[in-house]
Amino acid sequence: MPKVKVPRKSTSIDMTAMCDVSFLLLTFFMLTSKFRPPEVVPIDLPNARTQTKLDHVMTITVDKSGAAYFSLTETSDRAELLENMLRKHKEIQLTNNQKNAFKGLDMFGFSLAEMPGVLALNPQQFKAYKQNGIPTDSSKCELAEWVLQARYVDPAMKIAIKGDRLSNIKAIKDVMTALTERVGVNKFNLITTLAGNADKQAIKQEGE
Amino acid sequence: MAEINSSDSGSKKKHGGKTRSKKMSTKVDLTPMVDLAFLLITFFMLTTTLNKPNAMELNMPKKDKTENIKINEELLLNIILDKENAVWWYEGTTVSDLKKTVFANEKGIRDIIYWKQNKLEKSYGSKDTMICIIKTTDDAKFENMVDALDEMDITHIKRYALQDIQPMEIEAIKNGGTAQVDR
Repeated sequence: MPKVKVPRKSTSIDMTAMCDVSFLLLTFFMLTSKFRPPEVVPIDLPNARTQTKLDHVMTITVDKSGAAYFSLTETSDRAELLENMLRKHKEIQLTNNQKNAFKGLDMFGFSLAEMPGVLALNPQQFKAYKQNGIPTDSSKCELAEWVLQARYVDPAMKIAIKGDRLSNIKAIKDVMTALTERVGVNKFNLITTLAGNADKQAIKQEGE
Repeated sequence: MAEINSSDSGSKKKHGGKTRSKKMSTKVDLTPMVDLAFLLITFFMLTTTLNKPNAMELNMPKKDKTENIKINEELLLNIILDKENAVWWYEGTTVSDLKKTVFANEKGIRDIIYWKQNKLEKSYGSKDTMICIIKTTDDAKFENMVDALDEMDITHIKRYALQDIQPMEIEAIKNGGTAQVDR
């Protein structure tokens, strides 16, 4: 009687399917991730222990000199925000080119009066243009209007204040009063960075 | 890990003298490619989640609420942030003797908070009774405010508020801590 031969099987597995899946995932992650928007103003964030992550926010940036900037992450939200704002301010007329220019802005810090002029600038001119910040003073608080209109775009959006370490507390407080008194928002987030130096690391461990 | 070449090209060579082109397997080893793809996936996954900013939440009281809430004076600790990272503090509601300290891990404002917490724990049985009021002079920096809020987080103070500074307190700081109390 002949022995039953066990057929020798190859140990290698067909990798094609796995390769397909991994590249599908790779494509997905590459397409969904966004590039970090170019920084209009350099912001040196204050250190804190908190590690809560934020998503889906409108950001009010306050730089060292106290000028306020406003930013929305989604381009579609930006377009809607501009439409809302123009509906309220009939005196401002923008061409389609200017509207598109606004859609492309990650962050802006100019008053409504300046807006048509600034949006008409070409990219090079815009880069050289020094933005003075959105007015936050109590007589003409345009920042509050922007925030209010942005909240109409998406009421679920959180509000974050991104202040420079060395910006004066008064500028931040102006923004806060604008939010609490004019928009009626009492809950907002302060963007910080995780403590980096050894001293702050010690705090972290101590706290835990 | 390479694919085993199952075509018996070796035996054919012996029979015919003709030089035949080798029949190569069309299968390619995809393992390195999968390795690379997963490496890139990991990279993109990590970078997208790490890009989100850290934030501390801040709740401000509603301004239209004007009702006065009566609280025990003993529970209060006032912290006033001043220029050059200085911190002034006093207990209770009477602005009389402000003491100066700094933000530090030891011998700073945190030790004072701990001291006050211990004091309250002894007399009221709980640390959480403490109420911290944070005020700022106009010369303070945003960093100071974040530091102060961070201290609240570190020392686990449940009740704290940001308030506007009183003229009396500004006066006291100008005088180096001692306020002239009108009697």
